[in-house]
Amino acid sequence: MKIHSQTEKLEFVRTFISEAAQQFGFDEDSVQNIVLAVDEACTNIIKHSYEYASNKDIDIRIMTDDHRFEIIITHQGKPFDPKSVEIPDMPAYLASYRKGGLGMYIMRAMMDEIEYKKLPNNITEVHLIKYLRNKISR
Amino acid sequence: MFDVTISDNGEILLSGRFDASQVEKAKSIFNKIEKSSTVDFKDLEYISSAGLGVLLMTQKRLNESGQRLKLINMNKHIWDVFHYAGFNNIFEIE
Repeated sequence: MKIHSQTEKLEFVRTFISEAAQQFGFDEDSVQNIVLAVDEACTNIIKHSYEYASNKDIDIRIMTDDHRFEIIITHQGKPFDPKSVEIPDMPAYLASYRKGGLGMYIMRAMMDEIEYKKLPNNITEVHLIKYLRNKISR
Repeated sequence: MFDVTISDNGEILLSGRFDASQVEKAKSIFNKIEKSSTVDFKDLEYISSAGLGVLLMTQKRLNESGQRLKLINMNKHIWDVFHYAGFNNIFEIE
């Protein structure tokens, strides 16, 4: 699916991801975790990569392979490498009431792998990967 | 769909889905809170880090004057998110 870079579009993204993750066979908790991670990734792109410009594109694709469920989010905003964000020590972090980086922390907690790819033509891909244990064919 | 209201007894009621698109709406209520208050999550289906940030900044501001938020009636997923993020250490959650 493709959306414009507007936080109002996050609802459509969550519905799209939720339906696909359920169809793949994830339980309800995992579906909600994946949905939250994708929401956080898209919010980061809207906020940091596109700096709230509302007419830019975000493309979201899903690729599956056996037990692997992968969401690929593509944009052409400012490159942003999730791995470059230091994972905060949460007790100290919260004690100081900082909130920046919280979305990234949650993304990492919810997914098994996060990959970042910088492609030609200023294209950036964020790959969010979750593995399904005990997959039951539907 | 998201809504935030203050009930007659002063409780803050959240409903719907609290994501980045709803931050300004939420701030319009939370920024007015000046004393210890209860936030009822009973009808809240979803929250992302954007919503957590509003609660965190409100708690920070209230703590400076010895006040605080108490959070009640979370669904399981929201409760899990709070615990993943360690927010259970800075909010009283019932």
